[in-house]
Amino acid sequence: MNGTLRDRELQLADLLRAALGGDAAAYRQFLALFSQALRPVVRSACSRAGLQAAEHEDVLQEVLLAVHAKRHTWQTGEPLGPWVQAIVRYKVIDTFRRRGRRIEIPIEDVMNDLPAPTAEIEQSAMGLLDRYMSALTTRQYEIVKSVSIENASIRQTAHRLSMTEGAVRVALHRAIASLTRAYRSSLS
Amino acid sequence: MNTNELINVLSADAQRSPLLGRSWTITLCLGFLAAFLLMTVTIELRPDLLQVILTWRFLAKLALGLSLALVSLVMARQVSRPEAGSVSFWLGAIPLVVMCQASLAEVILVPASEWWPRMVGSNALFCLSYIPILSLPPLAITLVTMRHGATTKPALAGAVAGLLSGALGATAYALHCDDDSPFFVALWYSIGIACVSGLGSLIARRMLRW
Repeated sequence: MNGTLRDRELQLADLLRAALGGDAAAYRQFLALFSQALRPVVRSACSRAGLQAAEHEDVLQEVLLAVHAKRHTWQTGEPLGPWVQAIVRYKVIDTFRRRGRRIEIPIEDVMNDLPAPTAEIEQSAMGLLDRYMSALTTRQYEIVKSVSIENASIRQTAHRLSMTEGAVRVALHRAIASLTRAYRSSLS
Repeated sequence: MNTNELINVLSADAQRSPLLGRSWTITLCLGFLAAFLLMTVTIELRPDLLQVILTWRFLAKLALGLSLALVSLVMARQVSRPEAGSVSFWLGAIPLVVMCQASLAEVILVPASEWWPRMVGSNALFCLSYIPILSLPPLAITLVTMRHGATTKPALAGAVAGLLSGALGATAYALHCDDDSPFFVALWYSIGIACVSGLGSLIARRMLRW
């Protein structure tokens, strides 16, 4: 955890590579480490843009959704840094623009200066995402709730809702796509 | 939903995702096929295709379209990636050289009094409107493929998509058009393709944002 910067980038790259091969555990670890590393960067950018503290976590979540939606565009043989940086910069500027803030933010240091993952406690438990949950169908809502809040596996969720695992996966995938779209079209 | 809960959701969606590499080859083939089919059912192949197929002017026309298509395919792949630092615009010199060489040959082979009539051709306006029409199906296909990527330069990406689609549309149109002079092609085909490129850029400003 406290290795050098280069080690951390390589570790994240290994995790994401495994995740792209379908390894859910590696993907969870990637998202956890990545969001911890990203939180201070997003926060300082948000403060400079004059966003309320309550919105910082929303921006972070939106960046995570974007990384998720576009993770297949990382070429696994290439370094992770430039790719992550480009996504984060694009997405943060996009969220600021939609919130009516226009500032140039130096995000160059996302990877160059990747902070050691600290356990900074996140604020705002009731963020934008909760509002967008209304974009989901009842089934999708149940599935997302089961997987997110109750941290149930796909199998447990399928069992509980008497669905096949495949159907749960498809519904979850579509639910994430709707949430991402709801975010994108909001505030614009 | 807090971020940990979001991570629960996202990591449950860790399926193998499609790779971008092959979809570009499919885009190129499908795009050309769509333009070609639209051409054959609406305006048909030129009847003397077999007689002209080995003439240098006809081949130059095809070479221009195909080289532009391939070059813009390379640029489309580059600009579709978020970290696209540099797009190889210099590749554009390849179709340009093809066009200049063909025009130069025409200058040498044809007396000056013929230059103007050849450049104006017999149905310039039709060509000008039909190349964009034939380019619309490939443009739709190309933009959908690009949406699958993650460009951070939507307007540029759209212009490149338009260039690629315009080249495919022009190549299909070349199989119908009987104005073979490189002068005609250099002028009207270029304008037609440029229009598609502009259209692509306009659409992409909205469509390729993510």
